[in-house]
Formats: sequence, structure tokens, C-alpha cells
Amino acid sequence: MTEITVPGEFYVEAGCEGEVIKTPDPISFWGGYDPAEGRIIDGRNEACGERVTGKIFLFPEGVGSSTTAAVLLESVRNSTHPLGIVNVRTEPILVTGALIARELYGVEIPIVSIEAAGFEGIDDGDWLKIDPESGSLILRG
Amino acid sequence: MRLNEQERRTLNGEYGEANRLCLQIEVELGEAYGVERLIPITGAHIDANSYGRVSGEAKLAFAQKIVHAGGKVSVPTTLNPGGRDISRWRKFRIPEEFAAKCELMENAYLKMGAIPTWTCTPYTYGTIPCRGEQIAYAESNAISFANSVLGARTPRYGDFLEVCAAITGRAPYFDLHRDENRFADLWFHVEDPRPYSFSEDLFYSLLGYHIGGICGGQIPVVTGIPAGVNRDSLKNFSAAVASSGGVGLFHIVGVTPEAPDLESVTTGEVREDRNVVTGRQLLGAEEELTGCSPDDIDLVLLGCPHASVREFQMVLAGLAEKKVADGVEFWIQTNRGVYSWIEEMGILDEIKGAGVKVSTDSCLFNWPLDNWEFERAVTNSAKFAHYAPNELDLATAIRDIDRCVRAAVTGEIEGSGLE
Repeated sequence: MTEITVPGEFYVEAGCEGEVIKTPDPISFWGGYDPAEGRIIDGRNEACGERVTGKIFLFPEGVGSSTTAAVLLESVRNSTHPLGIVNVRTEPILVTGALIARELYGVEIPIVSIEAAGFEGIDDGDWLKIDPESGSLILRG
Repeated sequence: MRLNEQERRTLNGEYGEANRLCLQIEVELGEAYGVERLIPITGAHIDANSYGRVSGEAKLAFAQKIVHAGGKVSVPTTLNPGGRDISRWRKFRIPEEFAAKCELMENAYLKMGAIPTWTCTPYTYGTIPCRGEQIAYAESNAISFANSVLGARTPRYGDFLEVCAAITGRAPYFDLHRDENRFADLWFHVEDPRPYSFSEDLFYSLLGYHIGGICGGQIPVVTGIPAGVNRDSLKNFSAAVASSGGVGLFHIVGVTPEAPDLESVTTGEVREDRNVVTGRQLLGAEEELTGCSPDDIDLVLLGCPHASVREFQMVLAGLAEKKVADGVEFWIQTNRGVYSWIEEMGILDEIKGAGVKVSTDSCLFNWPLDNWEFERAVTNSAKFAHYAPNELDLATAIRDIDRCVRAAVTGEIEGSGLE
């Protein structure tokens, strides 16, 4: 087993470990994500139809509506949320959703951004650990 | 983060639980982004008050938590559309239970002391931010418009952070609050608008949609647009560029206030890479936003973002005393300011007489449409055409207002501008 460590910038300081669900396309949570099922529903997104629940969700960046935080919070309320989120560019809108989820529901969703090259190196189905102690992602292959 | 005495006291709970909680979230977020301090703001626009089908419960839980904690806004704060037209929701077949939830949400924000504008275009009347004013805006089109067209300063606040800022009157000093972050990242030059024209509102919707798709979260500057672009076109551009992309600020040289010339908003590096845009390229955007064939339609939707007086005048002119066809609903969403003006101008009576339904206070995207059987819609809005296929399960076509009106009258969508 090999381990690759990818340094990350932590926007929500928390940890988790799980399978990766990745899309190369930017996503708008509002209009592109169904919080009842934790599913990507934007037909323009390569991962359309996939569920992110219980997985570590990788998408390069957020686009579109400022309702993102509420949709993420609703997903937490429904327990359909991803375990963690990894981006290349993390928007404050998304981080806000995670911070409120912690206040309202006591759920921690780590949010980390990494360099584009590191992002390219992680694939759908990979096993990833988000490790706040070392400030990095640990990719197991 | 460096906090002043009052901020420290707030975090200690000396100004109540709501202030503590809201400031706590702002400080946490600020620290995550390496922000050094908070700044005072002088206005806010809240989006978290819209009770919608998708995330209404989470938003209501948050609002009630703040109300229970004694939260009051400390700066003039406007509100986005809610989930119902407060006086006409029955006419739009909004279920009783849903309306009751909306009322809970409305009451929560009224208790916090916010101004009941219930509109996504708070920049049309009442509380219009000035150039350079530090504000905390949510609602993507309003953010883009306030930054770009008005020259106010706000990052893309999203649900809840804008509420926190409205309550505390403080905002993390980062992102578009700061001068140095307001330079353009990408330069677009419009060379030839044909088959569209610079005087068409639709051109700006498509241009915004095209540019937003390329920009993602970056700031575009656009050259080649003649001065005198009207506010509806700029509204359409704002809404479109913030739908296909995460654009919170754009510059149009000679049009928007921070961009008298290209040099004012760019570095030399950006000026080396000119992206040429032609009207022909925008046909691609029009096609992308048109997912239904020019077939029978059941809904014509204008007012996303909320319609202006000028747009109502265009509708009235387009109707030319004809009536909305049987089997077609023609809805226009607007705010109460515009509504009262068109009422006094006599426009409202005339278009209502033609079968047009006008709603205030709300947004179709929040409405449960279960009591309607809509399948195909035509709209003048890139934002609506972008989101409706997923959010409302509607096949949608984009056309200019004249063609939307003709579609309402005939029940059929005409070809695009090209055909």
C-alpha cells in the first residue's frame, strides 16, 4: 500500500476518512444538488446522478447561487451530506454552511482546498483521509 | 484575527447570545481565510429568508434560532423574495401548509427588524447602496449588480453569513471588500454583436452567461460595449454572469463606475490576453439555454430578477391589446415598489385585463408547483432558463421580451433571433 500526502488549506478544521466521489466540473449546490438524497442533479455535470452521501466530495470550485450554504445545511439536516469536501478554490459561501451545520446540528464537515495538480491526482473511488493534525490529505492506493 | 474591545465583549456574550453566535461564525470564517480584522458595514441584503422547497427547513431552523437568541439587525437590511406572494398566494395555488411555513419565516425576519422588501432587486428602490459603501449582500444577482453597477463593496455572501453581518454590523475585511481584490482577472472584448445588437436586453443575458461560464469565480472586464447600457440589460448581465459562473464583480469599460478605462481595472498581464467575443459565439449560449423545441408552451415567465417598470411597459406594448392564449399562464414577478408604480400608471390593469398574472414578494424557484402542470416554459431570463430545468423540471427556452409576449399570445415559441 502506498500513501501520498497532499498538503491542504483547511477552511473547516476537522477530519474524516472515506471514499472519494469526484467531479471535474464546478458545481452549484442550488439547482445542481438535491439535499433530500445527497445527489448531484445538474445534467451539465459529469457526475450527474451520483450520490455524495458518506463520501468525500471533490469538486474544483463552486458556482452560481448564494443559496449554497442553505442547501448544504439542509443536506446535513437530512443526513445526506458528504463526509468532507475538497476543492481547488473554496468559496466562503460553502464554508459558512459547514460552520452553521456545526452550530445547529453538531455535524463537522471538513473543507479543504488543495493545489490543482494534487486535485488532478485524486480519482473517483480512491480512499482518502482528511487529516487536520498534519494539515494534509492522505491518499491511499 | 485582531479584535477590538467591543468585538471581544460580543464574543464573551455581553451583547446577548445572537450577537455572540453571529460574530463567532464571522470570526471563524475570517480566520479560515486569514482575515486580519472585521470592518463596519452600513447595509445588508438577506437571502436566507426565502422559504423554498429545497432548503426551507434548514433556513427556518436557523432564523428561529437567531430570533430565540434575541437577534436584531443593526444596519438597514433588505430581504429577498420569500416562498409566497403574501397577498395572492392562493391565486398561485400555493398549498396552505407551505404558506404557513413561509409566514413563520417572514415573521422571524420581521422580528429581527429587517425591511420587508421581499425582492431580489433591492437595488431598484428604497435602499440603494452607494459607490464605495461597505455592505454585506447575499443573492447572487444583487451581489453582482451592487458591486459592479453601483460600485458598492460586498463579497458573495451566502445564506447565513449575511444574516450574521446584518446582526453584528461587522464583516470580515476580505475578498471584494478590499480595493486590491477588485481588479479584473480576464479581459473580454466584444467585437461584433451581430446577429444581436448592443441595444437588446437579451444580448446582455447571453453575453453574461457566456462570460460567466468561462470565468468561474474570476473577475471579468469587458470592452467594446458602447456607453448607455440600460439598467435592465445590466440586471440581466448580473444575473446571467452569476448563474453560469460565481462572478461577484464585473467591469464594463465606459459603463460601470470603477472602469472608466481598461487600465483602471487591470494589470499589464491581463491586458496581454484579449478574449474576443462575437455575437455568433453567443448563439451557443442561446442554444444552451433553450432545452425545448418551439412547440406548445404552458408558461411564460418574466421577472427573474424582478421586473422593472420599463419591462412592464415592453410587455404592454408587445401585447397590443391581444390576450394571453388559452392553456398558457403568463406570469411576471416583481417587487412591491414597481407594482405600486405600474398600478398608478394604469399598466397593471391593462396587462391584467389581457390575462397576465403579476406576483410580488416571491420567487417561482421557491414555490411548490405541484398544483400546476407545467412542462414547457419560455422566459427572457438566463438565470431562469439555467436553473428551471433542474429546479422545476421545466423544459425552457430563452427569448427576448417581445417574443415571450408573442409566445403567450399564440401559445407557441418562435424561433430564435437567427431563424
